[in-house]
Amino acid sequence: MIKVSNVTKSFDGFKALDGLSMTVEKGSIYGLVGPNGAGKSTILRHIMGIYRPDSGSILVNGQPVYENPKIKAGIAAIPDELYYFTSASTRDMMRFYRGLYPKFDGKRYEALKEAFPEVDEKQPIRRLSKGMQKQSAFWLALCCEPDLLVLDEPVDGLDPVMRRQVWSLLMNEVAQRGTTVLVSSHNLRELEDVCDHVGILSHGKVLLERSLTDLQDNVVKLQVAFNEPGLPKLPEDMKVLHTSQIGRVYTLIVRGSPAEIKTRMAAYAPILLEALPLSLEEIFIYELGGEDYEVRDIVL
Amino acid sequence: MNWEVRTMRSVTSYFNSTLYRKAMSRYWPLWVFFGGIWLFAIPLNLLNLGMNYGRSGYGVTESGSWIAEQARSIPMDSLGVGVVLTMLYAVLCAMAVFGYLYNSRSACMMHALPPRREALFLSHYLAGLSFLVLPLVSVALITLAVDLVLVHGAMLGLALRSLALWLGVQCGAALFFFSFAAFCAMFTGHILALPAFYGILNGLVVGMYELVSLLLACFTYGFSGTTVPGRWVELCTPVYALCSAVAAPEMNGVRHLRQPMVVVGYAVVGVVLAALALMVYRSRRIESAGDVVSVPLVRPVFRWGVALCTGMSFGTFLAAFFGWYDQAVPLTLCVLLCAAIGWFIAEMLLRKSFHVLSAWKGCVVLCAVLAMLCAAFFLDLFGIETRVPQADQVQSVRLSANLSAPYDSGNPAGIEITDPDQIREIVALHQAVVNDRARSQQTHSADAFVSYLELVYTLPDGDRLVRMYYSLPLFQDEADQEGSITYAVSQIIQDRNLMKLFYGLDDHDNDTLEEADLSEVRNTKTDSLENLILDEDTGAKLWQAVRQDYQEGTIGVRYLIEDDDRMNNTYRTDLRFTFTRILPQDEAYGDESRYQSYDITVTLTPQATHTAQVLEQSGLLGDVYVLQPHTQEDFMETADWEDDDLQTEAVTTAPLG
Repeated sequence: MIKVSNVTKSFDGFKALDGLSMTVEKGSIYGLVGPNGAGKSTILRHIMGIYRPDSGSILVNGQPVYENPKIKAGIAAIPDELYYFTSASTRDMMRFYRGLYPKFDGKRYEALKEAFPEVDEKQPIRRLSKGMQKQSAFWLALCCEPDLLVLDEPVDGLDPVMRRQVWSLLMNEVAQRGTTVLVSSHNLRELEDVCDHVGILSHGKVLLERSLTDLQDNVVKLQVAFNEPGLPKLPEDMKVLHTSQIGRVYTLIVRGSPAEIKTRMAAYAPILLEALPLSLEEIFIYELGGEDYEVRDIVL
Repeated sequence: MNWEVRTMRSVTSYFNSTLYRKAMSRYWPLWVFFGGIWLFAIPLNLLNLGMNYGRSGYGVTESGSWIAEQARSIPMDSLGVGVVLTMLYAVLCAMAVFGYLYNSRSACMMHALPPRREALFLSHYLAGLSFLVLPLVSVALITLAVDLVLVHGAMLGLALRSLALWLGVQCGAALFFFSFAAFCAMFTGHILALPAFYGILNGLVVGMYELVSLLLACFTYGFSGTTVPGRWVELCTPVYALCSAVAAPEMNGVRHLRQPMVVVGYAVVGVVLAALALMVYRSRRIESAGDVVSVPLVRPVFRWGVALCTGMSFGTFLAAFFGWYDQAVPLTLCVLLCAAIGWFIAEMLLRKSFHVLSAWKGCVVLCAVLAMLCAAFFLDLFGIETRVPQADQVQSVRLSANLSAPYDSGNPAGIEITDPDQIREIVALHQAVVNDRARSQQTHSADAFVSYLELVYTLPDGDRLVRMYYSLPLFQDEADQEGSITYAVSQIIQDRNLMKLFYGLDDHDNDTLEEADLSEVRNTKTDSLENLILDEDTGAKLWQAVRQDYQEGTIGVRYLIEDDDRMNNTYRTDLRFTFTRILPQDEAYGDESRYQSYDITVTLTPQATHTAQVLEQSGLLGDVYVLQPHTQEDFMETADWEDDDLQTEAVTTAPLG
């Protein structure tokens, strides 16, 4: 669906994107994370066709997105900072988008009214609270029936109930229409619930890009205890990322297949051996925390 | 599927009706207000006049004729004002429709939409142009209806012609000014910078011309900072050129545009500017929202432009403030200082930061360039100071000067000289002034009389060469020294034909003598000086007598300096004639401005017998009133005045006439 290859972009000498490459598969929900200034919003604006890259290419459905009305007609976006015309209501904006997006579904607009009961469609959007403005943005974006939804910090300002509802709508959209969702967020816990792929950005590059399953299958948290005090000498090819100890119980974060690691550890006859799942947040901390300190900034 | 969606199917569309309609509906107060102004100015005004005139009880024929004249003249009289209004309104429209480019959020939102930039530009451009043109067309249609109701017969054709001209001129001006504003809009990312750029670029040519002239005038002897801009400067200053072009004098009962092709030319330029604006927009970086200059290539131009303009304008002002405007080194330092300040201000605007000292290298280059320019001006490397046209290459020369006494109309004030021999005399004086530049510093000399000279040459190609010399020293003992300034002035004041031209004695046959009066006539009863107004008949006789006396060489004799000869052979009493001249229709902007009044003053002399005879015959002079000769006090005043001047500033200046 989206293929970004070696994109660079500079703003007055500052390199915001530095050879960034990433791939987003069709129908996936791709979470883009990174510290402030990593280039998340910049790459999203490139993917939306707003910015022209200094070099590299950005293809959506195999075609360049920049100045491509056909491709852009299939993209709906909710930026971090929303903009609506002065005094325009949700209904006014609906009319505006209806004239610009060929697939805009008026019936869906009416249907989605129930999903956003707090939003007064006739009230100027600027007078709505930030959360309601976001709801209005989701309402309109979903009516465009996009093939690709680009969301920059989409649930900021939404209350927990509305967050859950919005994510639910998005999941439903993906399930029913095969919409691809590219979402940027600082909230890893939330992304973990909805994303199937993640990419982490730092200094204008993608440091890591994998499916969530791959990530979780590549690192394991083990709790082990032995009869003798201390840890036995583990083989050098077992990549222990982190070790901590409480009493005689050791907690090891080990890179590799959880089943294989557990089998190898069993050979040391521990009195306690338990493999625990890692959260996305822990994966980032232990997988990359030692290599790149910015990763910690994302999750701490 | 609704109609908006159908239009979007065409991915190559360069126009999007949704964007257009949205812009029209968002900014409706702009075009409604613009239309309202014109609605009141033309059709409602005409209707109101028609109703008031009808109520005033005039006959149908008279009333109809007057209304027809109003219908014809109101649109034509509003052409110039309309051009200025359009110029101001155009930039407001551009700020409205292209305002989305100046805010990061709105720029991102609009450019995330499916339409290409061509569609974004053209839809908004046409909307902005419609803000101006649609109200004009609407007002024209309403005026047409009013004309059809109020005006009948042959006058209707003239009224409709005026209306069509008005619509054409306003639409042409709207096309140019809005395109120009759109063009400016593409170069900036800041909404307040747009009107600033627009205003500056509108007057850029004349502004730069004036600034360079101002600087040249400070460095160059004789160069005038108030030089009248040439035709090309006028043409490159849109509002000036258009206002001048749409002046509509009446010829043969019909009002014509003075230069209709200028309006057409500007409309064509408007189309070109719109195309250029689109080209710039296509390559515009959306991330430039908020930047003062959004096109990287233009940033150096902006930096240098701001620095040069600041240097030349504020530098000369600073030098004048401290009285250094005629001292090369302090003046240059002032210019460099202000240019450097301008450089860093421009840098601050570009970087949006106060930390700009790192740009010092460019500033050094700028100062070096400006220093060289000032040096070139000072050393007259362009030959401006020494340029004196060949007499045979001068079509005419307009002369204003204060070269000799007495101080009446014999000192020319804008006299046009076309006679080759007389031009030769003037050119010889100019050459003497240029050759003797070093003497201009000798105005402090005790025996120097200081004169003033302004020359405006018209050359065969229509170009004008203007020179002004504010302090020419004249020395009595150099009157016979060929090549000196004093000699050249002596030649001029001894040329009776030239002096006759200065007095304008042969130039008033077609004008009306309105009034004549005598100044400073002594009332022997009250022992005071009074002014006497003469009756029309006496005035006419005096005019003829003065001309006769001049022919006989008894009046209008010029004196190089204020000496006994001048004092003994002239009265204090002056005779002043007031004439009225009716200008041709194509030289006047309205009926009232066609009447031009002017004075001719002649200092009376004891030898002017014909003039004295008329005065005596009229009964004005006699026991009570006598002409006032120069008294011993006048001699003393002149001498004291000269001494005072020598003491205070060591300058002897010729007394004013």
